[in-house]
Amino acid sequence: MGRLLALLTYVASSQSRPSGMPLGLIVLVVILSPVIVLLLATLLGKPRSMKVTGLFLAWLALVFCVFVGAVYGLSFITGLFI
Amino acid sequence: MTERQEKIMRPLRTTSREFWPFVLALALITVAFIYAYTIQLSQGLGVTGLNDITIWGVYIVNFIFFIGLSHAGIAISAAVRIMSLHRYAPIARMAEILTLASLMMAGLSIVIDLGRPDRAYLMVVNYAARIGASPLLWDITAVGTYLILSTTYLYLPMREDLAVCRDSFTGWRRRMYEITLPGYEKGEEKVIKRLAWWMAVTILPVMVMVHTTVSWIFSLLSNRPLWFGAAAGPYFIAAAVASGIASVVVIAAIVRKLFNWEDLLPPEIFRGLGNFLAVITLIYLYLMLVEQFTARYAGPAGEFFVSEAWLFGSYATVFWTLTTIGLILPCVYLLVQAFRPGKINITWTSVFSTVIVIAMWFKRYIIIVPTLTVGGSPLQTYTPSWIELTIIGGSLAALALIYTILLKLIPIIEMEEPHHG
Repeated sequence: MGRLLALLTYVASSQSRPSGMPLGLIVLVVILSPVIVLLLATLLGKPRSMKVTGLFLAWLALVFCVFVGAVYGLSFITGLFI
Repeated sequence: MTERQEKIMRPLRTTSREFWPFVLALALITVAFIYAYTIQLSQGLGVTGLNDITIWGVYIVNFIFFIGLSHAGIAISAAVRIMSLHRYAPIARMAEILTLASLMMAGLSIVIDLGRPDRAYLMVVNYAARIGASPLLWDITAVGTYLILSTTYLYLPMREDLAVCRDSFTGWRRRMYEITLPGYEKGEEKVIKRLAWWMAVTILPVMVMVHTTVSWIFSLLSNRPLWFGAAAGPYFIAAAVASGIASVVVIAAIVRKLFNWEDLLPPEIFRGLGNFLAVITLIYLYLMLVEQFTARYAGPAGEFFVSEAWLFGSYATVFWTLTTIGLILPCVYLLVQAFRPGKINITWTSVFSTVIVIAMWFKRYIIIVPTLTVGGSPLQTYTPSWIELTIIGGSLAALALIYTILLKLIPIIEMEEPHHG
């Protein structure tokens, strides 16, 4: 009985259910779906300018790379002190 | 150049005598922060007041605090664009800059809290494997997306104003503005306005998700008293919006005084923000009340113990000070002001906004620390070390420094004349 209770407690506190979609994937979908809407609106909406759209997408890509690069950069720099 | 543009450009053109000593003071505090962090890096988290039981302290408090501040920019700016609240257009950009600066500091706070930040790259490398069950990674995803979108949201509509700056400066400043304007052409603002509108629509749900995932770092832990709960998301969002809006009131009041922008930032803006702040603070107080009722009358024993520590125990002084002086008093003042048409005191509105911002920092402390020290077993105490306090002070100074530097580089009010509405 004690083991069963421990198991039930573990399952109840688990963040992702074995039979369902992990919460993390739901979170990812919720966060990224507005971004997909934004990209579609950028590409298909009017008034349209390929130059500005290209600039917008390039800017997004640049900031994304800077963000990931910053994680790597910080990892490297802090590693020098450890 | 119009008179309005001249006024907005004033901080970029002229520098007062007090400016450089102020920047120097902020820079010195920031250097102290870097020094303290270097000690922590080389000697480990043992130099902090944290221990095996109290695993989170003031660094996580700062992280939530900065994330909260970042909500102001998008909340105000998106409201201006989506709901055509053009009256608030003059404060939109200063709020967006606050978003950007505080998000940077929030990211840094997480890095500081990591015992081995040199392994942070593993989050990128193992992203696919961990995203299913790691609230920390959800948070990084949400904050990262928010940061990328906020930066874009700040930059694109600013291109028109940067072009004005480019044309009115010579030398290195002109070259600097030229670099920030790749592919600029006159008349692009129509397309950019459409993009900005869509970005406002996009960023709002991301903003909500950011603080929801921040709350999930705590509220999904079922064995942590006063963290575990379904209402944590709205609770955190209410605190974030309150502290964010209050910060914008303070910044707007300061720049209004510094640059004589009385006509650019009319009292109606402060009245509107003050009213909204009163309502959101009231909602937050209600959520605090609901939380306490649940903990004291229906919660498990652990919840009751932590609630006791908040209300009558070792955290009571902090709790009651922040609740009465930090939240109730400003809320009452702002509500009284809201019901007196034509009466607005900008000084007191900004003073009480400052009080709310400070109270919200301590509220995050009350949320995090007692659950770890008295909510588990064995009981622990936590006192931040001088390293932690220096880092906390330094990160706040760094935020102010980033904001002050941006204030001198970019126009913090949109140069376009706002429509009436």
